[in-house]
Amino acid sequence: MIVKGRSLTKAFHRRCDVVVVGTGAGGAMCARQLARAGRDVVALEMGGFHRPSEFTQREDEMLPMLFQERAARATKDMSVTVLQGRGVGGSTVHNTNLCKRTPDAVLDEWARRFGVSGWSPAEVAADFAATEKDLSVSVLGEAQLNAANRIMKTGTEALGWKGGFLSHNRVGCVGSGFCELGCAFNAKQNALKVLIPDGLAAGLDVYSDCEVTAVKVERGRAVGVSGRYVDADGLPLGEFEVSADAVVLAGSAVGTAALMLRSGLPDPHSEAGRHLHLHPGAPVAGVYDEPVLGWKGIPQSWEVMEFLDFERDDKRVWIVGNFAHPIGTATNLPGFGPEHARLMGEYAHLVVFTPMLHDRTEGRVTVTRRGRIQLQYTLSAGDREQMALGLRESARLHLAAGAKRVVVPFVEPVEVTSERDLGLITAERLGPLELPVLAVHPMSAARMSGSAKDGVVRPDGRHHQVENLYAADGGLFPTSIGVPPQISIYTAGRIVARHVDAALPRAS
Amino acid sequence: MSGAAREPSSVAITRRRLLRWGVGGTLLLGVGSLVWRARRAPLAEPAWAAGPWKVLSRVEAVIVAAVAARLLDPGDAENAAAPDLLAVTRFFDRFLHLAHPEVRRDLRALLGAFDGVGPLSVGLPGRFVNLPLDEQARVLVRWERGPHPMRMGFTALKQLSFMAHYGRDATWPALGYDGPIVPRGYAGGEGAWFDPAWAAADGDDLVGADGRRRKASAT
Repeated sequence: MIVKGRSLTKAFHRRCDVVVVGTGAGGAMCARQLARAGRDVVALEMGGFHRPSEFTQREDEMLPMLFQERAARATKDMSVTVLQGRGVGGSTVHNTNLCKRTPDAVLDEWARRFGVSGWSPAEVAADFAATEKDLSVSVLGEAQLNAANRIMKTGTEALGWKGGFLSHNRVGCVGSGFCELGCAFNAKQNALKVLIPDGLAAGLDVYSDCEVTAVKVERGRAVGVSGRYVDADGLPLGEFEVSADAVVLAGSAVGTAALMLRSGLPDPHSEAGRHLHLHPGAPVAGVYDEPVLGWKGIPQSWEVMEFLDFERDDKRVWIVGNFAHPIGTATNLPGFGPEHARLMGEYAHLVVFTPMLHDRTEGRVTVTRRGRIQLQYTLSAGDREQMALGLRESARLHLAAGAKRVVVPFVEPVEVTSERDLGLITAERLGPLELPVLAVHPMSAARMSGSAKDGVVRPDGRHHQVENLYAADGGLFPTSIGVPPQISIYTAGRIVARHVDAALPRAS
Repeated sequence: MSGAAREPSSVAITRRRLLRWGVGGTLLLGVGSLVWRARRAPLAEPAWAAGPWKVLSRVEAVIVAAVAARLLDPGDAENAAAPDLLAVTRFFDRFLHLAHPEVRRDLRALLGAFDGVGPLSVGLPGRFVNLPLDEQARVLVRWERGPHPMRMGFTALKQLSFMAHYGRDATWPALGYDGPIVPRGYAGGEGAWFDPAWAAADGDDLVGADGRRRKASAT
């Protein structure tokens, strides 16, 4: 069953085998797997439970409903906006359905540098395949390219670059183009549509609007969690406790690390919250003669792989099409007043490409004394060079595709009308708040490692210091993975669930 | 005399240090005095500024509206919608109400600082809300392109103003944007997905304080 915390009027206490904190890709998968294994599982979600009929396709209503901090989460210095999901299904409700496995080279690096066992390409292949089957993953084709992505494909082919169609988890998509505001047509084969119902059918209980504030530890063992149930606006209504034989944290790299810090869990090497990766990206807008209506159709169906090579440090840029509705576009275009309004007047003619970094920069999640999450993240010199490369090549792609001009939205915007102008885009310009930088893939802030000296959890998801405590989200990844992470996170949930189940005693 | 003995102690007052303190203190007093005078300058408060607001003071409401008016000024942009300043101010108020207390504190401090110190950043006396429109734009440009703390303030004000403005249907025709394609209350996507067998149940009749589960009732 699903219980909506916003409707509760009394404090509650539950007892179960496993409590899972978070219902996004990792949490929902882990909870479903454990429920199917016959465990009594409670999943707690800080956000609401929303049906497709509530996805109104309006930014003013969906941004506060589906995103952390009403879509205003950012790094402490405000240089990176970090969009993260909130609600049953987590970020899988608002993501754009991109499905790529963790690259083999990345998995090999985890084994080599961090002693991560059990995650070699051969060992996780079956789990990836099972995840893809769960989510009905398939490769898109020509018929699903919208006008903006068709332009991107044209440019890619004109330049002779490496690119291709992306794989997605969507069935029955009508191409409305509102993926990032939740799918009103329920075409996303995500945690909300697939895994939560599966779990419920197996006996899973989901409590929405229940924000966990502490992991309870007794004599070195996790014994449950406590928190508060909240109203539709996230304001507290009352308190709850859930006691369990095992606790799985899956509230995202940010949420899990913050909960570990708030709970004061033993952390002799100060690893919790460190090593945050974000996959930062920045928009590059091409202005085309003809209206493109870039908000219509599937937003991201084509990728450019020309500048992404997992074996090389100087090719860490993935370029993908992107498009936002008016609020998202307006907040990322440069300037204000009449100049900005005129640029917005060209909205229907804009096509946006986003270079996303396979980042080496390591940031940090911290929590203030009053419990506020803070993210620290400043692009390293090497990543600034890669970002500049990505911006230049995205602009070149626009030119090759026929853009009449390209706007790189620096505070003092760079307008590119020919390849001669590309030299204006340099790493030196990339100081904090010089450019709108966005991130939707926080990772690594509770990373796994064979050694407690450089990781928070073991390769099976178990906490290095606290018994019966696990993590099962993108926070596990020891490094950036360089590709959209949902398949990797779902799969992590599957792997960790198997270890949790194996560690718990069976009732005789 | 040993080398260590020749080093001035960390609290020793040298002539240079005294001069530096003196100049710094005078500057600080000067700036503080200007800000204080600016904050005491008369302020035109339209009737709507009285609220009711959950968080904003009357003065803060006026500051929000003045900042938003400049940020969202469409000028001669074709067909662009004029800002609804009351709606923007309401958006700020609601955002502040629901924000973490530390965010609320910081944003309210920003509003005060922007109004009081903003003009000084371009060498003007007085408060932002009382400046001529072109001078207000100069202050915003200065904060947009100035040192990092100013940029942070500008970014916060811009993002909240634009979130409030471009969420309004009235702003869309000028963009060529046709808005949502589903009517309100559309439930066509429920279909096969919504199975009454696991219908969400509202209410605390499900799990009481005693932890006992009771029969679920579907909504």
